[in-house]
Amino acid sequence: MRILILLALGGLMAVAHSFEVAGDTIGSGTALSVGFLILAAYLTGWVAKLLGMPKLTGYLLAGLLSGNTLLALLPEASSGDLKIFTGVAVSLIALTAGTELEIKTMRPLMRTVAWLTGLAGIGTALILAIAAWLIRDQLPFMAGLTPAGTIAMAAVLGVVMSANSPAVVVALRTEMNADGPLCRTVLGAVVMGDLLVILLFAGVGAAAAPFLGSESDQGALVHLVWHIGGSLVVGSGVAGLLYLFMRFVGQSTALFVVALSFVVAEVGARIGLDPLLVALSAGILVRNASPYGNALHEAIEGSSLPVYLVFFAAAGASIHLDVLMVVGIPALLFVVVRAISFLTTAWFAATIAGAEPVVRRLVGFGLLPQAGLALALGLLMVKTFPAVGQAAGTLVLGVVAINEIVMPIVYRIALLRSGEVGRAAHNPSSAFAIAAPDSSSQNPVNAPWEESESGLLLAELPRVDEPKPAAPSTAPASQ
Amino acid sequence: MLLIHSLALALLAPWAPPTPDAAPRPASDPAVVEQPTAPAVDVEPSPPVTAPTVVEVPRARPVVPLSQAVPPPPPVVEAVPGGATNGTGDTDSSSTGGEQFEEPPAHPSPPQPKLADAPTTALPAEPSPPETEPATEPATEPATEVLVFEPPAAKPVASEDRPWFAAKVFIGLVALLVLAYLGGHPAILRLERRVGVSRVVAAGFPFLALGLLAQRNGILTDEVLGHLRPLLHLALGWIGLVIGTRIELGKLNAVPRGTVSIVGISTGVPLVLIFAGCGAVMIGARAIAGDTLFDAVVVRDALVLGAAGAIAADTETLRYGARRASAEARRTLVQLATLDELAALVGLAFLNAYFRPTGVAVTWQLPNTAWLFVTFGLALILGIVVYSILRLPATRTESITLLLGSVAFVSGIASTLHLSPLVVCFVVGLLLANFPGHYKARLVDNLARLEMPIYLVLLIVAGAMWRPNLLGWLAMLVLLTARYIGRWAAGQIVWRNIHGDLPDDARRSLVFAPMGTLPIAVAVNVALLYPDGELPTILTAIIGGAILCELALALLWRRDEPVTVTAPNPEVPR
Repeated sequence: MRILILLALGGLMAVAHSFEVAGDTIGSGTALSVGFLILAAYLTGWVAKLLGMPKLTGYLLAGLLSGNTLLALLPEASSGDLKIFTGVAVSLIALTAGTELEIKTMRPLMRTVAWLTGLAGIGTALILAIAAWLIRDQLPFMAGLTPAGTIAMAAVLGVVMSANSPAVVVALRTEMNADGPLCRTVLGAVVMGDLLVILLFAGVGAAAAPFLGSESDQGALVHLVWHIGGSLVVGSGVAGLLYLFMRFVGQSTALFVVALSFVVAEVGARIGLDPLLVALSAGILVRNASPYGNALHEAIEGSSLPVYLVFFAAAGASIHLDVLMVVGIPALLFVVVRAISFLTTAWFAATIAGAEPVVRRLVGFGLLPQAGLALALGLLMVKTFPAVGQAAGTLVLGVVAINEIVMPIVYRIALLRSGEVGRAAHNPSSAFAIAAPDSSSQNPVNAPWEESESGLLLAELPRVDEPKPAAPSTAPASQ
Repeated sequence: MLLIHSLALALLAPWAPPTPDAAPRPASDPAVVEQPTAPAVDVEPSPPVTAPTVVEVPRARPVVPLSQAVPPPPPVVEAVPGGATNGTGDTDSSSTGGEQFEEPPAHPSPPQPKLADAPTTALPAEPSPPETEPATEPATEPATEVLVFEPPAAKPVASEDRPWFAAKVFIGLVALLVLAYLGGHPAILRLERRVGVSRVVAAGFPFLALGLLAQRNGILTDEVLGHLRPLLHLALGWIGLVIGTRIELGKLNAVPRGTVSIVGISTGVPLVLIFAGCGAVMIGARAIAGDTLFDAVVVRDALVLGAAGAIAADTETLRYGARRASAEARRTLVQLATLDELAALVGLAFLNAYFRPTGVAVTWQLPNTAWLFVTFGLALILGIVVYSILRLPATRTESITLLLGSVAFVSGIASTLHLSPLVVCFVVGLLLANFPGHYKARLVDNLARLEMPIYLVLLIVAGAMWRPNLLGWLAMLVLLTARYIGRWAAGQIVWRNIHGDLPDDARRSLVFAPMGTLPIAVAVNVALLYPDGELPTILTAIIGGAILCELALALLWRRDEPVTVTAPNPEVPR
C-alpha cells in the first residue's frame, strides 16, 4: 500500500510539474515540495527500515530520488525556499542538542569530550589538510597557487571537511531511542567539534585570505565577535523567552518553539548571527538554568518528526550525483582519509581520557556523518575565496554527499553494537500539543491508532496539553 | 538561472552526464515558455524564437509593496487563439508575480522588471531562487558555480541597525508571548464568555493588530511575507479541510425541509446587494480617479466581496444570539451556518474557474467550465490518496505529521494549478468526513489541535498584508449595510414562504449572524490568486467588517434581557 501511495504521489507531482511555466511554478511550489517531501520521506523511511537501514537514510533517498539529479519531481523554484525549512530545522536540532547537554550529567564525560574535540577534531583537520596538500597535483584548482597559497587552501579544506553533524547524531538518537555513554559522548563531541570548526574556519580563513587572492578583512575580528558573542547574547534572550513562555503560558509549547526557531533562523541570518549558536546556547541555558529542560525537550521531540523529514529529504535533494561523477575519486579519497583519521584519533582520545570500552571502540563512528555545517562552510568558502573556492566547493560537496549517504548507516550499526538502543525513556509523544477545543482523546475510537511502534499505548500516557503548568523537574529527559 | 545552469552543464558535458532539467523541451511544444534569467545574465543570447506561442517570461519577480503599487495597466497579451477567454480581461500577472508577457524581440535581451508598471500586489511572489552573479569566469574553466546551492538569504540588515532590529524582533516576540498568556488567562476567557464574542475574533484581533504593527515596523516586510507564502497556503488548506470535515452528508438528511432554499436565498440576496453596492463604490472611485470605469477586475472584486460578505459563520456570537432557543433549534442554526460556508466556498470555486489567468504562459489551456471539473476531479483524486495515507497505522506524532504533509501537498498542488487551496482542501475534507473508516476521530482531533494557531497565524499575516484605505472603509460600510438589508429581506422571503421550525430568536440570530473568520481566509486566498485586484479595499472591507460585525452584535446581544441559560450547550456541535 505504501509503495502504491508513493507512486501516486510521484504521479501527482508529475502532473503539477506539467503545469509549470518553464520550470517555474505559479503557486506555492514550496508548499507542494514540503508536503511531498514529508509524505515521500515518511514512506521511504518505512521502506528503509524494512531493509534494515536507518529511516534517516530513507529520508535522504526520498530527497535524492525526487531531486533534480534523478526524477526532478520537485519544482525548481522551491529548492531555494526549502532552505528556510532547513534553517528552522537546524535551529530546532541545535535546541535539541542544547537541551541534551546537561552539565551535571555531562560532567563525567567532559574529559573525554574535551580530548575528542582537541585530538580528533584538530587532528583530523590537520590530517585532511596534509592529505589535500599531498594530492595537490590532482586537484586542478590548486594548480595555479603559490606554495603558500597551496598550504593555505589545504588548511581551509582540512577545516571544512572535518565538520561533523549534530543533526544526524540527534536524529539517529531519537529514531533509535538510544541513550548511554556512547550517545552522550558523541553528542557532546560533535557539538563542541562544530563550535571548534566554526572558530577554526574564521581563524584559518582570515590567515589564508592574502594567499588565496582575497583581501584580508580588517573587520573580521569584529565580525567574529558579533557572530559568536552576539549569538550567545541573543541565545540568552531566546532562553529567557522560552522560560517565560513555559512559566506563564505552559501550553502549545511545541508550536511556540517552532515559531521561535523560524524567527531565529530568519532573523539570525539577517543580522549576521549564527542560528545554530543562538539555539544551542538557548537550549543549554534552559536545560541547566531553569527547571523546564524536560518540558522543552519533550516539546521539541514531539514536533521534530516533520522537521527531520523535510530537513533530511531536502538535504538528499541537494545531493548532486553529477558532482560525484566529476569529483568522485578525490572525494572518495578524502572520505576514506577522514574516516580513518576520526576512528584512529577518537580511539586515542578516548583511551587517554579513560573512557569506557564501548566509547573507546565506537565513538569514532559518531563523528563520521556530515550534513549542514560542512555544506554551509563550503558555501562560505566559495564566497570568501572566489578565485579558487568554487571548484573547491564542488569537492567539498562531493565529500559531504558521500558522508551524508553512507555514514548514518555506519553510525547506526555502531549504535546497535553498543547496546544503547532503546534505552532512552520513552517520550509521551507531545506533538503539537495544543489545547484542543473538542478533544476526543478519551474516545475509545482512538484506541487502534494510539499504539506506537514500541507497543506502548500513548493513550495511557499523560497529555501535555492538559491544563496544568509544566512541572518543574530536574531530572534529565534522557534518563 | 536556468540558462546559466544549462550553460554550465553544457560546459561540463565532458565531465558529467546531462541532467534532465538541462534538456530543453522542443520549441514546437506550445506549452514551452523560454525563461531567461534575470538581468545580469550576460551569456550567449538565446536563439530567436519563432513559434508564436513561445514567450519570454522574466524570471525575476519584483516585490511591489502596496505603497508603490498602481492600478493594473491595460492588457498587452493577445487573446490565445482557440484558448480560453481571459476572464479577467487582464494580463496574466498572477502567473508571473505581477509582470507582463510581451512578444520577445528576435534577440531578446534580459527583461528588466518594471516596478512602475507592475500591478498591485498585496503579497509578493514566493522568492525566486537566488540570482547568480554574472558569468565572469573564463569559458575554459568548468563552471561549477551552479553546483553549489546558495540559500536565498533575506536582505541582510546593515551593521548599525542590527541591535535595533534585534530589539524590535525581541519586543515583537514578547508581545506575542503576552498575547498568548492573556489569550489563555481564565479572566479573559470568562470575559469572552460573558460578552459572547467569538474566541477567534476576540483573541485574534490583537494578532491582526500585531501583524499590522510588525508590517509598519519593517519586521513583516513584503520580502518576509513572500517567504511566508507557503505557510499561507498551508493555513488556507487547513481551514478548508476543517470546514469540509464538519459536513457529514449523512446528517444533512436530518436538516429541515427547504434548507437549500433557505441557504440559497439568505446567502444569495445579500450577495447580490453587496456585489451591487461595493461594485458601485469601486466604480465611483475609478470615476473620481479618472480610470476605466468598468472591467472584469471590478466584477471579480465585487463578487469576492459579495461571496465573503454574505457568509454567516457558526461562532459563539451566533449561538449567543439564539441562546433562548431550544437545543434542536440551535443545532439547525449551526447546520444552516455551516451550509452557508459551503455555499461561499462553492462560490469561490466558480469564481476561480471563470476568472483564470490566461495567456500563452499558462500551459493548460482549458475552457473555464473545464476548470470546475479539474477542481473537483483533482480534489477527488487527492481525497482518495489522502484517505489512503491517513488510514496507515501511525502514532500520534506520525499521524499529525502525515496530516500536515497531506494538507501541504494538497494545498501546494492546488495553488500550483492556480486553484484555491481553500476549496480543494474543503472538498478533500468533505470526502474524508464521509469515507468509511475509524480514522475520523483522530483526524478531527488533530485538526482541532492546530486550528486555533493556524487561524492566529493567518490573522497575523492578514494584518501584515492589510493596508487600510478610505475606499476600503467605505466599502466596509456598504458591505455591512447591504449584508443586513439583504439578510433581513431574505429572511422575510424565506420564512413567509418556507415552513421552518426555527423560533424567532434563532431567525433573528441568523439575520444578524456574524461573518466569522472564513471571509478573512477568502480574502487572503483572493490576494494569493489575484494579486492584480483592489486588495487593500477588499481586505479593509472584509477584515473591518468581520470585526465590527462581531463586536456590534456582541453589544447588541448584551442589551437584551438576561437569560438564565448562558452556558454553552454541549449537545450543539462545534
